[in-house]
Amino acid sequence: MTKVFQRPASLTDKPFHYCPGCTHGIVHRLVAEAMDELNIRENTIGVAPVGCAVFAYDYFNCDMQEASHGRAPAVATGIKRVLPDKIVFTYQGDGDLASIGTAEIVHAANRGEKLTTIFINNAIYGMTGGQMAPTTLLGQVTVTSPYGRKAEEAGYPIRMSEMLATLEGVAYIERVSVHDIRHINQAKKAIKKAFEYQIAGKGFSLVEVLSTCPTNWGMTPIESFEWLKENMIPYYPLGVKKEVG
Amino acid sequence: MVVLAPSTIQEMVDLVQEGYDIADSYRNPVMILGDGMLGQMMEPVEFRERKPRVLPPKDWATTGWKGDRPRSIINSLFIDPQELEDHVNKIYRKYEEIKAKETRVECYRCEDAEIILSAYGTTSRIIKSVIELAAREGIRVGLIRPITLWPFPMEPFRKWAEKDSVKAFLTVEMSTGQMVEDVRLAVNGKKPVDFFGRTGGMVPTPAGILAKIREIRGGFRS
Repeated sequence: MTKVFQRPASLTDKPFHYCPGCTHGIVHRLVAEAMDELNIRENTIGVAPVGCAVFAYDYFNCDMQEASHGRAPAVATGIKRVLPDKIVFTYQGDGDLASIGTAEIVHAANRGEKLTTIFINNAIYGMTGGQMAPTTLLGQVTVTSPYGRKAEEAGYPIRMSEMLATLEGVAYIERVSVHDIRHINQAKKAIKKAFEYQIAGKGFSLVEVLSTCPTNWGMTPIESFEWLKENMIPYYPLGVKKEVG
Repeated sequence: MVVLAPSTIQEMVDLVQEGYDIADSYRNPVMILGDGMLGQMMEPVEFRERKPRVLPPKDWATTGWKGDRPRSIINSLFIDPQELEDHVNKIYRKYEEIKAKETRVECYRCEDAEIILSAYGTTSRIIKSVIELAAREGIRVGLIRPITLWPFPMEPFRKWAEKDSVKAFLTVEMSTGQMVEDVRLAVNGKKPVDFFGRTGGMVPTPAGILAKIREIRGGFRS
């Protein structure tokens, strides 16, 4: 019998701990498939964030490190500089990357560190229980913005990809989404391309993945995909933000 | 964390070299604790060739996993309580090994001392002058200078505290008293432990320390 679908070799067989309907599982799989297809698993070192994906080191079937909250790009810089022929990626959420770790990601990108960052933007703090994140949309209700985020109190949702794309050291940045099959396929291509940029030694690469958090958004998984499509994509437009030749 | 407290620039140079090897041997952070005076001082130094330690293999490193060893995962998070307890015990065994092998201390003129002072860094150099000044007044003062603040050299304090000729301890610091707590633990109530400290960049003067010594001596002489 021909096998038509199987677990990527770059994922362990440990069951994910993520909530039902969470898109972390999809993105983990896309990263793992990209590693398999590029045949880089044995050469790859991943850096896990603090947040829902902190256990990424249990799921990616390669050498892994866990960084302090927001410090993944700094840890990854150290690994890559010591082992320049290895492929190094960070997997970070929006609380990790766009809040406490803003300085690290900005300076790693600006230094042109040859790293790949997978940035999960679900517009909320997931692990800690649904607090407002820098990426939370205006009007979005969270446990710390119960009347909806107001610009006069909490400023505006931060567009990390556009901001980082202004930096000279960046080779490739694209924002993708995983709310339907077509977009999942596009996300896969972007993630693979980001790794290819690193393999080619062109500079810093990042893929921002618009994701859902049904548990903390208080929606069903299907409602979440709709909400993402109708609310997140208009504010966080998809597409390539920077690509050097 | 291993804390190395040099008192001269030469010692700082030597301890930096040593510090890297200690950090590597135990996979543990090492701090060089300077102070404002050491940081701004100029002294001639010699970069000495030293025999490097034999360092352990880095079998834990994340270098890419080819299946020929267990996957390397560097993390500090253990959700399973048994796993975490095992990890804590492993770390504590390491701390015990560091205590046994890396404690450093200088004891200066403690043999015939009636008062033993304790200080590190710049302060310990001032005290060496104070010891001379006190000797001219017929007061026998010694110095225990911890070179490692952690692991703290408990043993010399215990040893001299047992001795009848030692009447009191005095800890001198450029702080409101941090090391004095370690000294009290080590002396364990066997002899009085006093404290003299200056802060904010004010440096203890020999005269100030000497006045404190006279005061302490007055206490047990009268």
